[in-house]
Amino acid sequence: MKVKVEVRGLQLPGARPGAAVEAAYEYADFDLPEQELFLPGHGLCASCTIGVIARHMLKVLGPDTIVVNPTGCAEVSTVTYPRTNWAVPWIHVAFGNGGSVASGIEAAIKVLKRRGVIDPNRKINVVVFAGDGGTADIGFQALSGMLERRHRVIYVMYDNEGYMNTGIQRSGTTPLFASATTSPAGKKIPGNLTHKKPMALIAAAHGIPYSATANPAYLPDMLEKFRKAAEIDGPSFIHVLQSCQPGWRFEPKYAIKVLELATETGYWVNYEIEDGKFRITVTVPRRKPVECFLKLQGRFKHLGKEEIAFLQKVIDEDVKRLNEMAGGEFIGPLDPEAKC
Amino acid sequence: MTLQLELGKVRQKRIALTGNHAVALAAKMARVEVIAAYPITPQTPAVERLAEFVNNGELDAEYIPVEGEHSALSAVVGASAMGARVFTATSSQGLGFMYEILPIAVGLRLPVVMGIATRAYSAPINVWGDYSDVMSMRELGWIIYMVSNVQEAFDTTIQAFRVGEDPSVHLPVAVAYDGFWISHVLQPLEVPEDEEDVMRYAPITRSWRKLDVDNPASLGAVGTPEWYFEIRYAAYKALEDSIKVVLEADALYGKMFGRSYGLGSGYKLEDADVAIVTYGSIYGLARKAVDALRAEGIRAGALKIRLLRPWPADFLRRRLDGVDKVVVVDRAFNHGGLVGPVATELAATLARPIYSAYATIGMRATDSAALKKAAERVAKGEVEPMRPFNIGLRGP
Amino acid sequence: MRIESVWIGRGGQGIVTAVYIVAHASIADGFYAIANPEFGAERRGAPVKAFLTITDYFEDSPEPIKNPDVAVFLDDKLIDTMRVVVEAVKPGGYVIVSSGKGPEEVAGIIGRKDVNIAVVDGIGLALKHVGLAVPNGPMVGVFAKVMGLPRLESIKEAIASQLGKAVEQNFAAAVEAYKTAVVIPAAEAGSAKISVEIPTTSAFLTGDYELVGWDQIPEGGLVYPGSSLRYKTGSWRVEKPIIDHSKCIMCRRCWLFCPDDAVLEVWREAKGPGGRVVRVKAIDFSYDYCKGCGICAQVCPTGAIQMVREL
Repeated sequence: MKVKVEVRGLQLPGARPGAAVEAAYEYADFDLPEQELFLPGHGLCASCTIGVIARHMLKVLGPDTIVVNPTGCAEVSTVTYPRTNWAVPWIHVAFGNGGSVASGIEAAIKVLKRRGVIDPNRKINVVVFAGDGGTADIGFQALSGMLERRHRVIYVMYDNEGYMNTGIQRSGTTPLFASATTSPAGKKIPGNLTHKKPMALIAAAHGIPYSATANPAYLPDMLEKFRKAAEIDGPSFIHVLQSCQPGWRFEPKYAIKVLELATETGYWVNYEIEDGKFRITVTVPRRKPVECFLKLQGRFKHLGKEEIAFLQKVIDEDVKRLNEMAGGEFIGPLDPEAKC
Repeated sequence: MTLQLELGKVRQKRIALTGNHAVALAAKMARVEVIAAYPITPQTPAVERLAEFVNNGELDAEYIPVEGEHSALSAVVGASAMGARVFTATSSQGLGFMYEILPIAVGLRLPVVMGIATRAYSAPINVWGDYSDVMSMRELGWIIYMVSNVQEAFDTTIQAFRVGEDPSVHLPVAVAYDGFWISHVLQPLEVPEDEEDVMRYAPITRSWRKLDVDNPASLGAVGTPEWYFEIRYAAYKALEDSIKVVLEADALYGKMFGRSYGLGSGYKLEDADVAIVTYGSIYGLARKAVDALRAEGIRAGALKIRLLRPWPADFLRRRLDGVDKVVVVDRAFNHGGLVGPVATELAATLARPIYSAYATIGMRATDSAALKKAAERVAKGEVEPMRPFNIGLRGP
Repeated sequence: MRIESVWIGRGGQGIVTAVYIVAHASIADGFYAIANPEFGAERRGAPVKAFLTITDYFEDSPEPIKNPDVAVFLDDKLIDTMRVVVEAVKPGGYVIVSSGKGPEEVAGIIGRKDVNIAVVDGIGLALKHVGLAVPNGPMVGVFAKVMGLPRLESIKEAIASQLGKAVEQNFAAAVEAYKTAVVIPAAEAGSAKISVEIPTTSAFLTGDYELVGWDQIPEGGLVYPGSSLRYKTGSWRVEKPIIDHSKCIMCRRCWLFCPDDAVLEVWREAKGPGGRVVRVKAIDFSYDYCKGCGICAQVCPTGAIQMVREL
C-alpha cells in the first residue's frame, strides 16, 4: 500500500484526540478534516476496524450527516445509554430495517425542505451503517426496497463475515469453510459450506448509480468511494470488508495486515460500478496464494491442503470473472511462490 | 398545550365516504408529511387514496410505497424521528409483520399515527374484519382508539395527531376501524370545509426529540438493566397520563367541530340490569338490541369502549358499577385465557365476575337479534359468568 | 458452608469459562455451585464480572453478591477500575490477583491488611503453557489452593468438559499456579463491619454517571455527543504503544488506522540546530482510550512504535 500523507499548513498546539491533521493523499485530492465526528470511548473490541471505517466515513461525509445504525456490533458498542460516540445525529430502530428507516428520513428531509422547515439549500447526507447480518440477511428486503425506490441514501455495509455481535455465528457473507459457532469446523463438515453473497453486485443489479466494494486497509480508495457516494443523487451502496479479531481469530495487531492480504490474494477485490460501468479500483499485479490470508486466522485453522486448494480455485474463478467484467487483467495471475 | 383558538363551530360540509376514504381524507387534512404503507385488504383503499392525493398535488407529502409493513412502520418511524408528521395504515398480518417496530415507536417517543382496518389473523387466511389484530398490540404502549362509524373514524384520526404530538404525550396512536363494516361502508359524514381549521386544531408541534444536524444527538441507545426500566417507565407513565390529553383533545374538537366522543359512550345504562359492552361498528346493533329487550321488559343498556389504551378504568366503573349483569361481546379470541380480551380487563376493572361472549370472529355475520338473544340469556341466568359463550358458532 | 466469590476480568480473558470450571469441579466434588456470569454487550477487552457461589446445600436462584468472601482479579489493572470490589471483600476474606508485579507491590495496590492476598502471574503462566494471554486456568488453580477446593483432579475434568481442547496445557498452567502462587496472610483482623457493597450497576461499561430517576432522563433515552469521553477504555490495555521519535517520519499511518482515535499529534520540544530547543509536531498516544491493540506498531513503516507489556 502506498499511502503517502503530506501535511499542509501548520497545526495549532493541542492534544485532543486525533486533532490537527490536514492530510492529502498522493493520488486523491483529499483534505481529511481534523474534526473527529466519531469520538473515542467506545466498546468495540481492541483492534476492531469498525472504528477505522466509521471515523473516516464521517470525515468524508462531514457533520451534515445522519447515521442510521441497525442492530449490530457498531450499534451496541457505540451508543449505550448514557453515552454515544457519534457527534452527528444517529438513530437505531431495529435490526432488519436500516434501508426503510433511512428511506423515511430521506423522504422527510425532502418534504421538510419543501415546507421550509429545513433550509432547502442544505445538503444533508443520510447514511446507513449496517453490518452483514443487517444488510445481506435480515435487512435484505429493506435494502432492496430502498435501492429500488431510489432514495438518496448512502448504504455502508461493514462486513465482518458473521453475526459477531451475538458471538460469531455464520451469516450470508461468511466465506466458504470458515468456522463459526453455527457452522463449526466439525469432524464431518469443515465449517461453513456456502459462498459469500456478492452484495455490491446484487445492489448494482437494482440499477443504482453507484455501488462499490472497499477495504479500509486501502484508505484512499475507500475514502474516494465515500466521496463519490455522497455526491450522487440517488442510492449508493458500499460493501466494506471489516476485520474482526474474535471472529476471524487473528492477533489484534494484524487487523489491517489481514485486510491487506485479503486484497493481495484476490480474496477481496476493490471495485466500483458507476452508472453501470464496472471498474477495478485497486489493481494487484500478482496475487499471493490465498493461504497467506487464511493462515493468519484461526477460523481457517482446520483446513487441509485439499480445502485450501479448493478455496484457491474459487478465488481464481472469481478473479477471472471480475477481470472479464472490468475488461482487462487488473487482478494479476497467481504467484504461487510469493511471500506472504 | 395552550393554543389561541377562535372557538365556535367551523364551516363544514356533508359528504359521503367509506371509512377508508374518510381516514385518508383526515390524514390529508392534517397535512401529513410522510406516508409509508403497504397495501393489505381491507386497508388498501385508504392508502390508495392517499397516493392519489399526493400524486394529484392535493397533498404536499412524500408517499413511500414500501416493500412490506415492517418497512412501512420503520420508514414512518424514521421520518417522524426527522420531525415530520407521519401516517401509515395496515390490517391483520400487516400489523403482525410490523410487530417488532410497534414497541420501538413507543420507546423512541415518536407520534406516529396509524389507521388499522381491523381484520382477523390467519390461519385460515381471512381478509374480513374482527379485532384479533388490535387486541395483539395492547401491551406495547400505543394509544389505541376503536371507532364505531365513518364519521368517528374521520374525527378520531384528526384527534390522533393532536394527541400523539402533544408535548406531554409523544406517543404513537392507532385508530382502529372495523375491516369492511367501517372501512368499506359508505356513510354520510361532516368534514371541515377548510383544511386550515384542521391545522388550527392540530398544528404540527414538532416538539418531540428529533434528528437535527445542528443539534446532534443519538436516538435509540442501548438501555442496560440499570436504565431500561426508567426509560421505558417514562413511556408507560406518558401513556397512563395521556388520558387527560385524549379528553381535552376530544372536548376541543367538540367545541370546534361539534362532535365529541369521550372515552366511550353508554346507552340507557342508568337503570339497566344488564349491559352489553362492545366496541367498533356493532355498537349500533347493541343499541337496537337494548331497545328490543326493553320492549320486552328487560332493563338493558349498552356501552361501547372507544379508548382501548390507555384503559379508561374510571369511566367504565362510573358507567357500569350500578349494572347488575355485564356481558362483553368480544370480537377477538383470547386463546387459552379465561374470558375474552376486553372481558378479562373489564372484570378486573369492576372487580367482579362478568359475562363474556365471542362474536363476529372472522367477520361471522351477526345482528341485533343475535345480540339481544345473548343478553337475554345473560339476564335469565342461562349462561355462567366468567365462562365465554359464542354468538353464531356452529357445533356443540 | 457457603463461599461467595466475585471474578473480575475482561472480555476475552475467559472469565465465564473460569467460573464454569470452578463450579463444574466443585459439583464434581459433591458441592453445589451457581456460576452466574454477567452478560452484556461487552466486547473483547471490556471489564466483565462473574459471580460464583459454592455451597454444600442446594440453592437455585442466582443473586448478586455484594460482599464476597473471595475476589479474583484476572488482571491487576482492573483493581483500580473496580476498587469497590476490593473494598467490599469481607475481612478475613481473599483477594486473588493475576499480576506480573511482585506480591508485595500487589498487596500495596490492594491496600488492605485485613484480607488474605494471593498473587500469581496468570498471564505469564498462560502464555507459557497455553500460548495465549488467557489467565483463567492459572486463576482457577490459585482459587483451589487458597480455598482448599475444588480438587485438582476435578479441575482437570472440568477443563476437559468446559474447554474440550488444550486440556493438558490449561491444566498444567492451573497446576503451576496452584504450586507457585504467593499467599500473603491477613496481617490484622479488621473490623467486622464493612460499609461498601458491590453495586449492581455496570457503570464500567459506559464510564461514570449519576443514576438518576426516570423523570430526569431525556425522552426516548436520547444521548448527546461528548458523553463517550467519560468512558476511558485505556483500562482494557495489556500492552501499550511507545514511540521512538527519532525513527518517526510523521507519515501518520498510526493515526489513520487507529480504531480508537487514540493517536495524537502534539507539540513537543526537541533539540534543534546548534542545540537550540525547538517545538516540533510529534505523534503521541491518548492512553485514556488506547486499548493496546497494536495496529499502530504493526502499520508503522519505520518500526518507531513498540508495544510493551504494561504492568
